[in-house]
Amino acid sequence: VHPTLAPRPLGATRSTTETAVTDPIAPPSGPTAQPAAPLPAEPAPRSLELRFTGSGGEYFRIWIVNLALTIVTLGIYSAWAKVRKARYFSLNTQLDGSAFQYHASPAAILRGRLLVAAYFVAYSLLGRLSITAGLVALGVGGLAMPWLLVQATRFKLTNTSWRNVRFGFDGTAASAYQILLPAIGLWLGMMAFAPRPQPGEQPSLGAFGLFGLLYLVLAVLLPLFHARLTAFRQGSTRLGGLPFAFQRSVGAYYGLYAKVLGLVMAAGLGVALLVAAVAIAGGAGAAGGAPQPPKVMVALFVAAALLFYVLAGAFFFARQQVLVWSRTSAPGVRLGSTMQARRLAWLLLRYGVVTLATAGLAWPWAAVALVRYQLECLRVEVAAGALDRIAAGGGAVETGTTGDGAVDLLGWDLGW
Amino acid sequence: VSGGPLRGRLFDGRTTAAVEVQVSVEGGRVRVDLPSGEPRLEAAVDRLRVSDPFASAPRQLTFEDGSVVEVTDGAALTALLSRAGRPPGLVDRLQQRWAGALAALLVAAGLLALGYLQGLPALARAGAAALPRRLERKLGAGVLELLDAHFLEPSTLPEGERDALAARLGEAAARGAPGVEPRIQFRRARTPPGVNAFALPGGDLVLLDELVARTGGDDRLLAVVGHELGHLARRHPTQRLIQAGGLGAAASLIWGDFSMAVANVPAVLALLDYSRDAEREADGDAATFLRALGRDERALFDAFCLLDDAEREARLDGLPSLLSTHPVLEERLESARGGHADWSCPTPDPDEDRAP
Repeated sequence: VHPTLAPRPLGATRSTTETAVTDPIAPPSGPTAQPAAPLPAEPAPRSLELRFTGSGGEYFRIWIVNLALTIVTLGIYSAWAKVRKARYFSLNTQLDGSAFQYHASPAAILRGRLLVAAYFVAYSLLGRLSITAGLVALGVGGLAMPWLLVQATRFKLTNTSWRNVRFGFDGTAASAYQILLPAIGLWLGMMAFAPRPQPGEQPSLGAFGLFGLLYLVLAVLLPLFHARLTAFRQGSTRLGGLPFAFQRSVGAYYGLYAKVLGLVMAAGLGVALLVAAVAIAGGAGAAGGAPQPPKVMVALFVAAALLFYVLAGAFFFARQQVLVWSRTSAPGVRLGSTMQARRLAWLLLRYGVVTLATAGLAWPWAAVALVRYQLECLRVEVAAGALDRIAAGGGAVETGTTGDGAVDLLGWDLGW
Repeated sequence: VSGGPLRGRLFDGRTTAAVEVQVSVEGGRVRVDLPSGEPRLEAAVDRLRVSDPFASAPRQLTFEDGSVVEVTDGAALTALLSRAGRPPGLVDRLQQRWAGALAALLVAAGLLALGYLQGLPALARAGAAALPRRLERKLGAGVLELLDAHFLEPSTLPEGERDALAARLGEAAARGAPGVEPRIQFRRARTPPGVNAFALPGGDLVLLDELVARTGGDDRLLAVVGHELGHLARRHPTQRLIQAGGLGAAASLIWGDFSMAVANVPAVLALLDYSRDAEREADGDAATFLRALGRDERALFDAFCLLDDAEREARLDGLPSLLSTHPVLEERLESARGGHADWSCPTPDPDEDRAP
């Protein structure tokens, strides 16, 4: 899923739930998403408009000036650039006529980035010196990940406001570890047993088998981890004193992953058939019996694979948006998304081609179009007055940013 | 246009409740009044925090008590504030204009190109210069180990011949290129063309069997050795390796586990692909070297003829030219010819060795 699909302001809005994480996992509900908690029987709910007022042209100017200043300052300005970009997307997102705002201090972000960059330099150096040292560095990084995730989410949310009330995140690192430690253990095990070609040495079959087994277990459990992590994030978010809730649904996630897997397998079959067809046609066409140059085939194969990758990615992302938002709610607030895989795929393909054709210069237009579509799809229904009486919640404003830096450098975004 | 009032909404920061207000700017002060005219807030324009002046976004004014007033028509507020002495900042103004964006684009593209063409080599030079000799020798040993594992095998020349040649070339180096102190090594290439020689960080100078055989150890070999000594004197191998593989590759070759070094093959192969400038410098050094030894500079031209020949054969055989090194051979041949229009390469005949 493309990281930029999640704009900052959205990251903020999307929130929510109770303290579901420590509870045992709920029995799988059907794969079809179901609406969350019923609204209180007050006056008729009101549908609120989410508007995006930014434009590709303006974002291009901001982006290119940010880029130039970042280069001139050897990267230092990137923290200021990030904040300016986040404020652009926040202030241009309006819910019920009021804009979001992003408040993070660039200096704090710069500190976080420097720390994370130092870790990556150390990791890449250690990894080149010895396998063991590299694995240790990887282990340290992997074990820090849940903590970083919580830090980053809290940083982003507490630094985002709507109507002068800050969002907040009540999730604890302990809960994050409870969810993610098994996944990290499996992943580190995989890294430790990953086959590494040694000159003049046969790979050990035992290690390879163990690697494969761990890989399989991780793959089978992935939807479970994903479901629990989403519940954790959505359910720990609040806007001031308004807590969001998430209706947990491991079954829905397994359904989603199964559909994507089916799609990928069908796509693989399709590509194989296509290649076979072209090979046969090519063989028949080459009367002399000379083997046809494989270049056309390779190009065709790559194009088809890319196309299917985009389609499957769009399907995954769109369905996930619908799933997450239809299950997220807050007292007096019901959310939803009408995102369609087909429309998202078309947007991605169109803007992907244009961005490639312009060597990346059209990227800002693509970013704005994707954010706009995502926002237009969001549905917010509120009981009358529900959004007008939210008190500012407790909780200090976050200043530590290592987590945010890590999430940025790794190219993640928290807004799935 | 008068100084307002503009419509806005006041948020006190305690709840999300919105209060409709009117915002006006007069005499360097911002005033926020209720629609009834009752004053709510007032502050000097320079005592406020003001959000960025984006084209179509609202702007937020943050007062010292933490209240925020959001003005939907951000552009109108920007105009009022500018007149009151609070114009957008420099970066804001750059980002508002296409001229600013164009300038930024040119600066970014120019600096990236400059960094790649000038900055990277400069950094590599600095890195190579800062590397202690002892570590540079370890780096060279790592490179040779890797080359031995993948591309080279032991020389098949008789040991006596190798020793004699090494002694002769070492002596020549001491006279023609004092201070370089190369360690002459003999190897065979696993795949043709094997008519080649290369210098490694720290002073190893590897001669391939076929080069020795095809030159018969004559002045052409001296010319090639002079060229490689030039690379060594200028620390080109260390620079090139750092430039191609980064400090990580260098560190890995110096201290690393051998098994991880496979990742360094690309960086090591870059040692066979210097820039035009580096080759030109080394060619100049080769000519100087030959002169210092009292030899004819034509040997350099003849050596290029031989290399050219070998590459052509390799191409005819359709063999991978992994160790084929000098892409600009034609150009260098012409440069070595200098003013001697009568010099020409012999017609290719692999069985016949040319007398110097």
